[in-house]
This record gives sequence, structure tokens and C-alpha cells, in this order.
Amino acid sequence: MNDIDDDYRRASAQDPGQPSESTRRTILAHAAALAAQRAAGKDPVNVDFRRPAANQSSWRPALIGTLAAAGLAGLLITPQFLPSRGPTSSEISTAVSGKSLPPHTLQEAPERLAAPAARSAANDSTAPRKLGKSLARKSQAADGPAAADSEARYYVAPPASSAPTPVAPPAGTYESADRAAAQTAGTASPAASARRNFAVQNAIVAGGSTGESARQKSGTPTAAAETAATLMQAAEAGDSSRLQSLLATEVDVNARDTHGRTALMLAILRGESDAVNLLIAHGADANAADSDGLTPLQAALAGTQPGITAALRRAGAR
Amino acid sequence: MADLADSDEALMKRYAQGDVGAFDLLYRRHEMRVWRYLERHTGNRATADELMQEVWFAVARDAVRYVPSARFTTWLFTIAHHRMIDSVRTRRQESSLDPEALLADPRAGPLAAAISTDQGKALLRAVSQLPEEQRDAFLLQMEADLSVEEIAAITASSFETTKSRLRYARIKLRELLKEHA
Repeated sequence: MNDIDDDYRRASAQDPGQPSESTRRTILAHAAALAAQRAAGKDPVNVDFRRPAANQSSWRPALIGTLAAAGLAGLLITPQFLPSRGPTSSEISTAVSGKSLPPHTLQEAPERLAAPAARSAANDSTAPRKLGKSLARKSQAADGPAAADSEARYYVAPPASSAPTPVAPPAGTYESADRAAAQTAGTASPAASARRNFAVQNAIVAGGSTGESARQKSGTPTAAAETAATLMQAAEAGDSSRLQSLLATEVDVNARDTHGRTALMLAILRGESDAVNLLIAHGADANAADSDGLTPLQAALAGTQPGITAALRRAGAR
Repeated sequence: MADLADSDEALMKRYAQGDVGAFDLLYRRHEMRVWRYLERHTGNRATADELMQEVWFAVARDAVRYVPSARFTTWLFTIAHHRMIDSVRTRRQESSLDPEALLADPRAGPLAAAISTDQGKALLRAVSQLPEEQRDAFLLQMEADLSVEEIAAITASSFETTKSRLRYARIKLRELLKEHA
């Protein structure tokens, strides 16, 4: 069998493939930066960011926990996307029982309507069931439609002094929905607010960026994430012309990749001094540490480009 | 200062104490073995580069925790093995293990001709066609120069299972080479 081994070793030795130079430099710079951190008294290994292999059984409890957390989050968030709650059966039942209120008192109706219902419920443990049946019967009674209509208007019609209720936008028009909601001056609908939050969350997940600023700058979360990714690629490659054209747009210069590295950090790790200067000139955060706690200055000190270190110090890097 | 005569374990200790040169030496000593192991598995040089970074970042990060209870190489390839398994499973759809595709990599350059002999191509193709577990055991032995016991420990398999995988890997390679002949 040794012939196979020998042949393989020969073929493997003749294989000209090797790690890229940038990979080599990144690894050595990272190791040097970690050593510098340790020398400074910081232990960069307090947190383990490694993802365990898929075949490890320790994933199971983590998976169950994640699913449980996701389910709970879903339960909490979902109601915000549902239409506003209509009147409860007890409220309508009270209203249709003859206590119709004049329009100008409708704003305080919930409290006033809830009180008799609560008293009724306190006296009768089967109140909810009875009230439900009562609602069904009375809504079809002779005096029902008018009273129910007037009560329904309370929940649909806005107060006379307020602006019109914004119309729910079709899917994919979060931006216009948000603007419409903002124009209602203090009467923004919960749904619009929830959609805005959802869009910002998407921006953070999609691009690892600062979310709100990215959304405001590049229009949509996806576009912002893509532009930020392109910026990082250009920084890493030291492509100054592409960087300049991207920085001329309103890209989020401090967007981060999955390791928490900004475009500035990537440029430093690759020793791309021109890219570093460009990014600093466009407001890149000179103190934005990555997920390992490695700061731009530490990364620069580990490299062999004194110009980068000087530029960072001028930009206030600590 | 780090010395070429230093053992891997001694270099790790020196690096944990702040000697960056020790890490540099350690990296260059094992660079190609780790990278080839990753590249032969993933069939993609960019992916191998990415995994290479993950492996050595982990080595640097855990240096102060490293206890030389086993050979450094065993620890190093344990990390590489786990990274590779994780990557292969998540990227199975994208991965191409075709040696032709590897040689078509522009970074291979004109030197690619060096292994474009029929025998070399056939052997690399045959390795890529091995079942994953057999390929893993074979590459750990060939590239990492690990013993059967060490491979068994890394792959969480029994000694006998590992020995069988290695034996079947070689039988399969012979068969595949005959087919290519």
C-alpha cells in the first residue's frame, strides 16, 4: 500500500496551491495583536466566539433554547402586526343594552363601559359565556344594529380633533407607511411603528450595520447591507478608487461584518494605508473594536505600517 | 527568542508568554499541512483560506489555555477537523471537489502544470472521490502525519473503525486509479 502513500505525497508536494498572502498576513497580524492585548493585561479569550461543530451533541440544548427564545419573541411581536382589537363582548353587550353614549363622550367609553361589565362579572362567574351569548342575541335585536353601529364607530372613527388614521400600506412599502405615520403628528399607528422596528432589525441582521442610520442613508436595509459589504471588500482589497466612489454615496462607513470588523479594521489588517486614510477622512470610527475586542490601533501596532498607526492616533485612536 | 529547534509545544508556550516570533515559526511550520488538509476536503481554495484563518485565530486565542497533554499537531488538526466538518456540511451544495476545477483556479498559475500529470490528476481525483470519513482519515494520516490512535481521537471513532477506514481508503484509491488507467 506504500506506493499509494508515496504517490500521494509526491502529488501533494508538487501541488503549487498555498494560502493567499492576505490570509497569511491576517493570521500573523491577528496573533500579534492578541499577544499585544495580553501584554497590556487584557485577556482576549474571555469570550469564546467559536461556533461548535455541527456534530457535537452540545448543540442540542443550545438549539432547544434558541427555538424557545424565538417562539417567545414571536408571541410577543406578532400581536403588534395584528389589526387593532375590537370591542370586547362585555363592552358591546353593555352598549347594546340601552346605554348608548353621545359621540362627545365616546372617548371615555372604555372605562365607563368596563365598570358595569366588571360588576356583572363579579356577580356571575359565568359572565363571559353569558355575555357572549347576549351579544349574539342582542346584536340581532330590534335596537341592536343602531346601538352596535354607534359603538363600532368609536373604534373606527378618530376623534374630531385628530388627523385621519393612516391607511395600512401594502407589503413592501414600509418607508411610505412610516412617513404617513409620522405625518399624523403623534398619532402614529402601532402597526407602522412595529413595521419600522422590523425594518431596522432587518438592516442590522442583513448588514451588521447600525441599522437605523443605514436604513435612512441607503433607502432599504438590503441595499444598505450590500453597499456596506462592497465597501468592506474594497477596503480589504485596498481599491482606493472604488472606495472613493462608495464613500461619495451615503454608505454606513462603520458597518460591521460577522466578526464585528469594520471596513477600517479590514484595511488595517491588510496593511492598506491609502484605504485607511480614506476611511478615516470619511468618518470611520478609529476605536471600533471587533468581536474579539481587538481595536484598530492594536491591529495596526501588530502590523508593519507605521503610517497607519500614526493616522489612527491622529484620528483619536486609543 | 524562538528557535527552529524548539518543539511545537515549547513554541506555543513562548507565544502564550508574548513571543510573537514563536507563533510565526509555528505557523510557518504547519501552514501547508493544515491548508492542504482543508483544501483537499473543501475542494475550494477560497474556502480553505477562510477556514485557515478560523483555525489559526483559534490557536492564537486559546494559546494561554493550551495544555500540552497531547502533541500540538493533534490539537491543531482537531481544530481543523471540526472547522472542516462544519464547513463541509454547510457548504456541501457549493463545494466542488473536482480536481479539474482546482487546477482551473487562477491562483494556481503556470506551476499548476507541475501536478497536471495524468498520475497526479488521477490520484487527486481519486482522493476527492473517497467517502468523506475515509478521505478524512487518509488526509489526517498523509498531511498531518498522525497515528491511527490520534486520528481515532480526533474523529471520535474507535481504533478499529479508524484502521478500517484507512484500509478501505487505500483499497478504494487503488480501484479508482485502475479505472483511470
